[in-house]
Amino acid sequence: MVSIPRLGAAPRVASPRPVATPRALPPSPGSRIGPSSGRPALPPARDVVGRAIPGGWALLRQRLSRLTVMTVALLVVGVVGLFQVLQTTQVAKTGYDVSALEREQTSLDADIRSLEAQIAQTSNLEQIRADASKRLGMVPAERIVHVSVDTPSPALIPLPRRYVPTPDKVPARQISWWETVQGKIPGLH
Amino acid sequence: MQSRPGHLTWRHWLLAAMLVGAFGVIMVRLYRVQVLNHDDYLKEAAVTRQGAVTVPAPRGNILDATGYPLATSVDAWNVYIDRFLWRDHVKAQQAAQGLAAFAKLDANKIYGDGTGANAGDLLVVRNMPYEQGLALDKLDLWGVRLVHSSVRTYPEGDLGGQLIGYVGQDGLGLWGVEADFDNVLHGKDGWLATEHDALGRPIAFAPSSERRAVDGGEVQLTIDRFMQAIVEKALDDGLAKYGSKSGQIIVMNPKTGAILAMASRPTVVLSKVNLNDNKLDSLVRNRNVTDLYEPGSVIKTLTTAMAIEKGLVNPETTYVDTGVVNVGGYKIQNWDFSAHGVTTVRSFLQNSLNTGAVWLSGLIGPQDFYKYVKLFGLGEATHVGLSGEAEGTYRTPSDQGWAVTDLATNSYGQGIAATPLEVLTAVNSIANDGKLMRPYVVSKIVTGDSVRSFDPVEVRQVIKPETAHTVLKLMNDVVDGMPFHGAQVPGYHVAGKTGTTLVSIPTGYDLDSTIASFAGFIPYENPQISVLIKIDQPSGGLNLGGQVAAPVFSQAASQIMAYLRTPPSDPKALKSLVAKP
Repeated sequence: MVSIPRLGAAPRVASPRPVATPRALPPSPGSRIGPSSGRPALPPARDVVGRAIPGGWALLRQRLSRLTVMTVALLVVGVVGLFQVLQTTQVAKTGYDVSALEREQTSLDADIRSLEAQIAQTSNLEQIRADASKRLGMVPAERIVHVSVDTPSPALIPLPRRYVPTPDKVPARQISWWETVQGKIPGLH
Repeated sequence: MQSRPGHLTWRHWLLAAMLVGAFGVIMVRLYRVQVLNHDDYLKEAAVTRQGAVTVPAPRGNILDATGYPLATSVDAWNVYIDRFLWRDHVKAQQAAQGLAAFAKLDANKIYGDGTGANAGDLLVVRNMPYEQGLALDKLDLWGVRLVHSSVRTYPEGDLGGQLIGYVGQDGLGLWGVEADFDNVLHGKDGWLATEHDALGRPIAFAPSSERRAVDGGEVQLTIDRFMQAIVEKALDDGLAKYGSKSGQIIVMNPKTGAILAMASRPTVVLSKVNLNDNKLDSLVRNRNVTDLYEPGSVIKTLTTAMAIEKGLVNPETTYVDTGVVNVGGYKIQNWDFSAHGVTTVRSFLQNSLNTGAVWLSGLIGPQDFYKYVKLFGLGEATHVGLSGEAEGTYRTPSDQGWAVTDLATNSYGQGIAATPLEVLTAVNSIANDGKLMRPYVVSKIVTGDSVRSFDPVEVRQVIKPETAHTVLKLMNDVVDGMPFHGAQVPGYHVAGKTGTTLVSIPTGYDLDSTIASFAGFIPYENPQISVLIKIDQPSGGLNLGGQVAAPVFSQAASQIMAYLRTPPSDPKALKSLVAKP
């Protein structure tokens, strides 16, 4: 029976130099234990019949068949590919949405300009004169009577364009670090 | 003969050399294509695959002082046929019929024109209304393309045609504010470049680049469309009534220099512009700023101001008017050949006596006279900001050929030339405490987020405020102090001065033709507007400024006062409204 000391356990006996345990844990793959480490190389752990017991990466390789590894690898590639396809689809859809909205905005801008021109056209002096005389039956004043009142005169009515409130400017959205990273991945931008 | 394994014969070497040579040729060619001529081939490929569409920038509006658009643009479409695609005659026939039915055109003509060549675009409809174009686009006719365009409209029709200007089919201003401020109004066209397939259709996922169009800026004028309409009507009525073919009128705010209305006849009709008309150049000329004339007796107000400013005379100072003055061997007479005897400065101005002006110019002296003429801004551009502005001209003692008769004639406005705008700007200083203001016609320019406002600019103090007040009162006496003066406006006090000059011809003066003018302020107590009217060569029997131009002032000024809701000067004309309890 081999006793394995607990890792990190303090030595029970105060000693100027700790005594090396006769049986240590099998070295992890990649660890360098040799003369340069100042400690003697440990032989691999063996089972009851004397076969070496694999550990770490070797153990994983033994347990996973090549088929499994390839399946997992393909799955990973597939998921990443699917992710890219979904992202690309989303980007394309967003692009179409943006394009459609821009077209709509262009059309609405054109409508605004057209309506403003129509308003101006229907409020030109000739139209006012025609409306006043034909629709309202007004005639040019022959005599002007000035009347003094203690109320200020009404302000001139500005034109519709002046009524249109200027929309507040929305500050540009800050791009997150994640979006920056996304932008650098080929196929996602 | 058997070849030994591993032994290379000359055939092997030959084959290897040929392969290496061929490979080398390919490499050299690749190097030339990919490296040496890379950019050239890239451009060639781009031309083949990519198409760039110009996105026109909406042209900015020209607004009047109240914000009404005197010139505005609406979106439209130009409809083109792609003759390359119309090589497919079956589809072309269907498209031609569809387009003809939609746009009410001749299908056979469209088909004939569209299939007459194998390449190039054919413009079928120019400036199709925007909504109509969208409907046409939905029909998806084979080889029919719509390109965005813009139509300039002038909601007030022909009002202010010379001042506002016009835009050509290339979208550039041709005259007036449209041309002078084209860099502001035009904006910056954008473009959209996308890859196309062999049929010219955009490739959906191909990379595209674009530059957004920058909208043109807005130019707001100091012109008020209501006043503009009033003065144009008054001028047209005056020209018709007094048998004249040409004339000008300007309305300004004398205290700021803002031009409130400005018209000149003959003029261009914006709704019927014929760009091939040989007379177009003369019709579009804004003669208020481009043409010189001899102002005549209106200048007597300036001469009087100089004499009073120098302390030489006051309104009651007298001289003896004998009806004629000898200057440098020439006889100068009053316009009506009259003699008034002992005459005051006030009376000289009221009767517009040439002898009085000559008397004052003699007192002032040539050095000071021309110094003040220059200070009043005559002989220099006003810098109003409109193109083609002329500078007045006159001779001074330092000029060759100047004689003392020049001083005498200049004192009553002959032998000195100026634009109507120069004259009114100079006279305005009398109503503005002696300060000369720079005239301006643009009050605001809005481009994007920036707003540039133009404030009144004081050029200089020409005469003292007291002098200006004295002369203004004298001008009031000229109108209100003379019974039945044509410039009087019921209810308001008016200050003004008439002018009548003979028409200058190469050999001297045409004794049968006059230029009748009037410059005045209303109301006299606190002038809101100044008006200059000039009517050329009236032919209806009346030809003096007081007979022809002054009544036009009266007509225009009374309507403008009503429009501005200016209380009348005469308290009797003001009725108080007493609210009943």
